[in-house]
Amino acid sequence: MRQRDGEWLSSAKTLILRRYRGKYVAIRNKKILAASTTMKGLYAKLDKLNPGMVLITRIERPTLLVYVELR
Amino acid sequence: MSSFAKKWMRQKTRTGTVYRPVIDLLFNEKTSSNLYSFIVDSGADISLAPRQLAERVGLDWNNGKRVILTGISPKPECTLEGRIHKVSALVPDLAFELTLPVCFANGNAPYLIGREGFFDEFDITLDKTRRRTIFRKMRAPRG
Repeated sequence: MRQRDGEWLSSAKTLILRRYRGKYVAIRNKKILAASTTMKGLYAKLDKLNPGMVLITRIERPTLLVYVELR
Repeated sequence: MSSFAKKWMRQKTRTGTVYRPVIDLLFNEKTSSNLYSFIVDSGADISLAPRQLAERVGLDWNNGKRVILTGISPKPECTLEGRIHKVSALVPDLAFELTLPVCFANGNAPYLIGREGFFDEFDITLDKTRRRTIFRKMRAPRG
């Protein structure tokens, strides 16, 4: 399941990536089950759906990633 | 098996398509278990995740070591507060459980795997030509 879902997201059409960019998403069986701009929102949706194990990730905005510094 | 390869994740940016190294980690939450896809960031000192994951795995976010997260902008309004906790996660490809420090940010942070606690456990090859990462579990030191 997990391998397929990760690979599916990686090869997903640009339209899908554009629709969900900047959002946290939960994927199961090659479908985006829930999405939200916050993890709090995503967990709230998942708790309602109770779908079992999902793959959670964030679809990044179309910018290049740079470092984060801790102080 | 003490190694595995993971394909890079395709992402679109305004400058074109980029491929980013990722790894899936399994976290046991209070009521279920879920997989999280982390970007492997060899330049990050420590791993990063949103605050809600800490709470989901049963940690009290406030009890962690307090840190301030800054990016390129030095503006105070562009900083985030974080807490560092040690947390256990499973690498499903090897059925290997590790404990690593993670900075849980009070905001919409990406999921990043940094060096501390992770690069100690694996030899990691970032194979950009083949767009894959090879993770080799290191043997425990003798003696």
